[in-house]
Amino acid sequence: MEQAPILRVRDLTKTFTMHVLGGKRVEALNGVSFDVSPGQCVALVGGSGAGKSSLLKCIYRTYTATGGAIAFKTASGDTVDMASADERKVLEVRRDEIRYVPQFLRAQPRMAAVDVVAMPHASNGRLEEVRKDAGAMLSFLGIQPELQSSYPSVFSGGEQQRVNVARALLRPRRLLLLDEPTSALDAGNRERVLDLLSAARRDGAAMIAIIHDIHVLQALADHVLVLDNGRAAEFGPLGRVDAARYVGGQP
Amino acid sequence: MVLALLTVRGLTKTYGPACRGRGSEGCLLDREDDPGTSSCAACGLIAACSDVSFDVYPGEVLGIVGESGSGKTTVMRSLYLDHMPTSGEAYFAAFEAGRHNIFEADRPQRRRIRNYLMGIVYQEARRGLNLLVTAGGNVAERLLAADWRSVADIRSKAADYLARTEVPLDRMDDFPAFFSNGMQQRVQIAKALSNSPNLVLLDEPTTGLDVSVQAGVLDLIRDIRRDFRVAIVVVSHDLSVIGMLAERTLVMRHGRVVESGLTDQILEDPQHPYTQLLVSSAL
Repeated sequence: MEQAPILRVRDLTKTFTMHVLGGKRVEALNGVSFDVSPGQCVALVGGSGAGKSSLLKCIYRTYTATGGAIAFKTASGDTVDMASADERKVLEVRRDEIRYVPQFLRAQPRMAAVDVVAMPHASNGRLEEVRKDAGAMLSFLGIQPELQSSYPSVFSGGEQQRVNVARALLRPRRLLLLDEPTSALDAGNRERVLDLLSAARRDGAAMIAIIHDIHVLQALADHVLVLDNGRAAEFGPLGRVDAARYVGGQP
Repeated sequence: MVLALLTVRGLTKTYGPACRGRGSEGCLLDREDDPGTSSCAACGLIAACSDVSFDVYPGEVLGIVGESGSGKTTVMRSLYLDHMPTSGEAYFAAFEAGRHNIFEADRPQRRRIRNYLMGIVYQEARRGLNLLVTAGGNVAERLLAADWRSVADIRSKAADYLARTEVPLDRMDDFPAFFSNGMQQRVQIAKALSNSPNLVLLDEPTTGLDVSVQAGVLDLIRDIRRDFRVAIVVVSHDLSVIGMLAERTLVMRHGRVVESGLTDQILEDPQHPYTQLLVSSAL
């Protein structure tokens, strides 16, 4: 039985006006519409520059949408339009409900990996408990305790990516925005990250993920949104959209 | 719904008489757009800050960025009541439950706001510290101003805060004049925090410090924010400092707020031409 969507994106447009380049305009998104329901994962596919990252950033409100609506249904049943909600509301939704995982880890400098993972979840005290869980999740992802106490800035790309994913998954969030969550990982770690993401899905988390690997796409996604030059070229269930045309890797 | 800790409306600080309504082009102060300057072509008035409005919420860090001369420091000194603004209002939840404009406070009330309710860290240590009073004495002065009376209590409290800000305790009885810049800033931070204020104002707290010292001071500010849950307004011309500390940011130019938003939005999707220039100028 299909649940009501947690996110409804309607006619989303994003145009950048670059004043430093004489007012040049770049259209990143043009009339994109789709829905995501709890427990669903929508894979975003399309060539570089198609608007995939812009779409995630508009939903998270790092980019301010130029037009359209991004209606997010909160746990309390309210609807927040991430395109137009006030800053305080956006910060509240980010803290409690939506997590964005950029392709590369951005963390506070000079903070131990375990704290980078734990801090966003320790808002109401209980830091020790959260830190213990953070350590356990990092260990599961192959980041050993001696590494957990060092700064992620000295980690390899794959280690940073695992810290990044652990930070997003340590506590349940209702919507995850993932920008190539396994791109820097070897096969073993990729499977472990996919296990965690699949478990989060089974627990009801909705996901929108930029994916460039057909194996990851088939393991994680149930819907595919094909972006082409800022437009939604195709949107539908995994079986009906020929995702393999748009992504690399062997199934 | 969380109420704002501080609500600032129409804060304006000018120097010189205004030609409002008299000049043919209209006074700088009457213009709604960014006039491209802080001085009025008609009357020569200088508007250090003009019609600045914003809110600060409990426990949040609000950043203010802008080039020198944009009015950032004028806003901070107005809020700390170092000088009186020409016009504008500010309501502070910790003062009279936010019912009275702090700019209309009388002298004892102003003292209370400065000594009990707010703390400030200035860019230049000599403005925030008496360099010829010991480090411990500087913190003690503020505690005395807030009616602490027991010498033993004052000394142990001062030692606590200096230790918290990593000022070596064996330097507590030295004069800050003989401290490095980074250590002077840490004494200022200890002093600002010692009365458990509701709001801390940081005016370019790391400007002019070596990178390693700057990192130490920034980490200290980050820890303080976590441990004391205090609201902070931080002014910097350095976008990376703002990016590290602030959730929301105001961009100022020519005394006006030209853009405000979530810090990541300001850094990644700036709207105003000046903000775009600022972001594209970062190294």
